[in-house]
Amino acid sequence: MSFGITSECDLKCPHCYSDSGEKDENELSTDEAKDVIRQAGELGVHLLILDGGEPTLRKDLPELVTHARDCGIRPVLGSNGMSLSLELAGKLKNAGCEAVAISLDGINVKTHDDFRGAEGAWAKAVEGARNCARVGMGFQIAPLVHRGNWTELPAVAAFAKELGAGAVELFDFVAAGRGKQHLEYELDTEQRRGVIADIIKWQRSDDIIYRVIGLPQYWPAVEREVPEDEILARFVRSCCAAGSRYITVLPNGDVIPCMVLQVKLGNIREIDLKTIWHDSPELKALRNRDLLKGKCGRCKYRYVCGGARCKAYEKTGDFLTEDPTCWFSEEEIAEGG
Amino acid sequence: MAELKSMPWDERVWKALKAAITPMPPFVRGKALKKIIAASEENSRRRDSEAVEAQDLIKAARENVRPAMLQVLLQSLAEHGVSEHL
Repeated sequence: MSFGITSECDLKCPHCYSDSGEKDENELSTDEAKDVIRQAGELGVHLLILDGGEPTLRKDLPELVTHARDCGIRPVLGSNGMSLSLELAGKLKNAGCEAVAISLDGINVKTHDDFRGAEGAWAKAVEGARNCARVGMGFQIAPLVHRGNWTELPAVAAFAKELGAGAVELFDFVAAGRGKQHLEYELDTEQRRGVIADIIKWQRSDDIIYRVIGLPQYWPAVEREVPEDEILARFVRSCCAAGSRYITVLPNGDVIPCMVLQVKLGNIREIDLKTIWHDSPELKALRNRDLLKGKCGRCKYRYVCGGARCKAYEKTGDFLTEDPTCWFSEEEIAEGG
Repeated sequence: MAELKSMPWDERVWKALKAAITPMPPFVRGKALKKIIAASEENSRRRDSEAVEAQDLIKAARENVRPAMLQVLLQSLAEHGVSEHL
């Protein structure tokens, strides 16, 4: 589960799914946030990603981390790394934080700083990663993959290994939130295929874990190209988990299936999380891949890919329609499965 | 790499196990996967079955997967058509 604990952020990234910047006046209080975490624990959530906005801007962050741990959940953080001083990294580690995902979009400093809109952002993110390593806290590098940086990904992956990251989690640009105003960053088909080919090549030889978010076509490509025993030994399938293995709570208590599939399921101040998870008609629909329409509905990979529901929703308003960015041919979707 | 399976599996059941296990990081799934496969096949042999079926896998999961992960695994198997009720 992702829990956006604040919409306040010290950056103004063009892709921001949560359109973060200013603090929401309806932000959940400490007690409310702790109750969300308690409910998550009772629901059976085993991994809680605290993000935002920028979660390190919230003063009670260590308290929320400890509370998650005490509720039997593994707390991790999604951060821009800008405020991850050695002191804060130590506090978070002692509070129980197991790992941090740090956004880092390029090996070229300018690539990252320009995209994130702040000079010095790259250096601070890298220092944040190093501080995690210094206190013995795991971290992963999380590049947002877009038209301006996709050629730097091999160097970013190599740098992540050099820093000691445990994983690289690549996010395909999805035109949601603020991203809707910046379609110029969206990859085209050939670029997406190139990114997937690279990741497959790296995962076949690297021990670092590669995850791919927002690009579920990664998995059919893996199944088509990689021997089964190698898949089971090395590869991680991470998408699309919206509503089936994943849910998101926003800073104001709104609940959505995924940070980039922004269909409101309810608000935690009005309906408890367990009821939303078990009774939401939208989540039930998302879990039934036989309800998918168009090419996704015909595709024999629909149970392990299912298309990016977020992209279908942003284009049409219907999260069950086909993924408009899928390039698989009718022959390819008929022979797989 | 060494063959993981030593007997035939119902294709639907094998695909469900793969789909359920591949979201887990390799360092978590490695030993668990070998154990579940071995236990599933043992359950199948005990029934004199020619192939591993859903009931064999579910029983193996219940006996070998720690509680924290068991519900996640069972839910994932169910999403791919493998549950105790089928």
